[in-house]
Amino acid sequence: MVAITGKAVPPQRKRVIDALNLVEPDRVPVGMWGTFQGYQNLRRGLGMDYKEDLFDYRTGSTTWTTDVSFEIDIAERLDLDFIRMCYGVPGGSPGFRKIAESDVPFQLEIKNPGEIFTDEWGVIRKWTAHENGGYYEMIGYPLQHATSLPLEEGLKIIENYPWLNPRDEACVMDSPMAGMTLPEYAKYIKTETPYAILAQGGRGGIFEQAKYMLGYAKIFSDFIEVPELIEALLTKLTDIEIEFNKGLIDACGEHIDWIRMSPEDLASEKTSFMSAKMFKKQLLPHYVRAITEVKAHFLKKNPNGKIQFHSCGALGAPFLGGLIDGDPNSGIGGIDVFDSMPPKVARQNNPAAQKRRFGDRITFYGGIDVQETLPWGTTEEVRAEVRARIWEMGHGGGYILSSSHRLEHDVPVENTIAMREEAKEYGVYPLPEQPPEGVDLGEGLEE
Amino acid sequence: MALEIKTDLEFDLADLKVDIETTRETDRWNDAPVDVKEIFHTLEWNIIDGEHRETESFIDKCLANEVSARTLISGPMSTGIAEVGRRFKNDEYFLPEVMMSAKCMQSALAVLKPLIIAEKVEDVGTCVIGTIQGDLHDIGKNIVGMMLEAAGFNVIDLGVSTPPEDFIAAIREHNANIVGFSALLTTTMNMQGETLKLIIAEGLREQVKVLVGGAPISQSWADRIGADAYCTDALVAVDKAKACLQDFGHLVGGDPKLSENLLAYDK
Repeated sequence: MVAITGKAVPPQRKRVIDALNLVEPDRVPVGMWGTFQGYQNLRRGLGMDYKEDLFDYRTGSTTWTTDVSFEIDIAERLDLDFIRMCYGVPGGSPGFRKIAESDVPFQLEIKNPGEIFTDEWGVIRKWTAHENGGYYEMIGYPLQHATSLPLEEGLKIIENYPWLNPRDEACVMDSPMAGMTLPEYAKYIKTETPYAILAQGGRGGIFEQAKYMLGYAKIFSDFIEVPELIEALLTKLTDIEIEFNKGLIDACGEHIDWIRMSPEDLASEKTSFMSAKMFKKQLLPHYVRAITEVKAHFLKKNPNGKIQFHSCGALGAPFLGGLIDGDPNSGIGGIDVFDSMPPKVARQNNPAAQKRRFGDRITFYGGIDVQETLPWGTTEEVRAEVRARIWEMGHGGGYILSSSHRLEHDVPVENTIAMREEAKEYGVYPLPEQPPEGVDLGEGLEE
Repeated sequence: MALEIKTDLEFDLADLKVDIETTRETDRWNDAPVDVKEIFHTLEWNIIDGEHRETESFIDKCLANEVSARTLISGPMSTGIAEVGRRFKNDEYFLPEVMMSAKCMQSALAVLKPLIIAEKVEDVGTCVIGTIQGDLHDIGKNIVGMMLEAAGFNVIDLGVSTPPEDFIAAIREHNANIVGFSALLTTTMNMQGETLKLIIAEGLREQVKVLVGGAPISQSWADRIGADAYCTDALVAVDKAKACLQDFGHLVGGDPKLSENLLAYDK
């Protein structure tokens, strides 16, 4: 354990805070996140002990892909710069429980689904295996039918739905460290370790959770056909997202360096899911309300606190710009950090393009490809990609390096170590003047 | 409810309407009688606009005018959905608009499919499609299936999480010419390769042309597993499926010349 002496900010935490404030740190900070099997694989590969059963781990940021909270010993072992920490699940971690098909309060589309689970939102899940593990796929969307009913009835169903309680005591009663509550854990990291803290309060999100409540296909036509119901559902989910975050902030906001809002996916690799016009009209106002309320609440506890937002895919300028602007009347702006920068998306919205467009306003997080390079590449290919990403996004600070999504079971441990080592070797400021090979120099991209 | 045309480009809606009206005047149906022509235009534009609520009664009206089911599908429905595909490709349409058009297509096809069977018109070809085993995602696959039907194919949709053996059985039962695998996840895409291996082992590789698609899929992946074509979207899938049977009908599935030639259909 690295000892904290006096009141000096430890280098790991300082590195992160500099990057968050768009100042060049001593070197590019690095953090990690992963699925249950990715985490097991990493620990096994490093010769560290690991738990066999998912349900023995404290859940991570969402229940969606069997996310787990990484423990402090991994940060020590891999010399990371921050710890990702999550508010708990109402009802207690991990948030899943088995449910009999006969107890599902609506008609499932899949016949004879076998063993099924419900998550804390009432979404029905089924364990879906792949070659090396699996994940809980959604197979039942509890509000799918509400949007096909007459408006008044649908609104009533949304209002009367047994929504989870974001202020449930269980949300703060446990942490990745046995015997510690979440506030104790946060305080421990802050006072006894050198790491910065990225914390997530929300567990489902706004548009994201709405997809899970209505179904992936249905929600898109519902945006056109029943905008009033979509508005009511998004308002409800925004209220919950805000309360989750306020609960987290009230419990331990003073120890947290930055907060990640619930992850939202707004785009595919090629383009956004909806038009910028529809986004601005039907979705952005909810995000802006959530971001503004959470940020204002957070700043009272940590005046230097920052807000991070996630979307996968190729998110266009009107989307990210709207989130960065936030509410112009609030005086506190919008998001400060954006993750997770998948590099192989449409070029006009790739990491290099986003940095050129918004690099003077926000910090970027992520960037090392989990779709091909990390799972299938050689260590040298991983290192080359790390150099390219640092050159593309690291100038002027404002880059926190991590995988472009969770580390999954298929990422060899040597590639994870290569990512970490290269970031330490190449990511030292000032960055080299000559661009490395494979970098997107931004020719032809808009400023 | 008349629907606005949604677009990422926030230009004046009035201009857009003029643009659409101009397109409407481009007469695609010169040979048809005036009243039929009007029906065709309306159906085509209902699909483009995603106006699906009246589809069934509208189809009835078409049939009452003695327009065959096959003519409707390969005519205005096909051009309508192709226009939707074009707009999607050009970022004029996004998923909400496409799903509305898909609803319109689905309700029309539900009425028309039994009639096609009754008309006994020969299909362009038979496609077996499905999401591969372990993967439950089907939005994209359903759109591909619909567009293939609109293009005149007999489509056998095996649904989601399809075991390789089910593909084999369906290829044999329906004497398919084309098989399409969909996969959304990097963790499941491998089953495309596994399913293809079984097709080879069962001696069916030359009979079927294999198309693959899905979010994590790429041309290099298609090459790696030995598929005949990667289809980046539903329109490309239709183009490549047609080309497989028409322009390259003389080549068997798995012929390297086929996959090479099909690259030309990536516009």
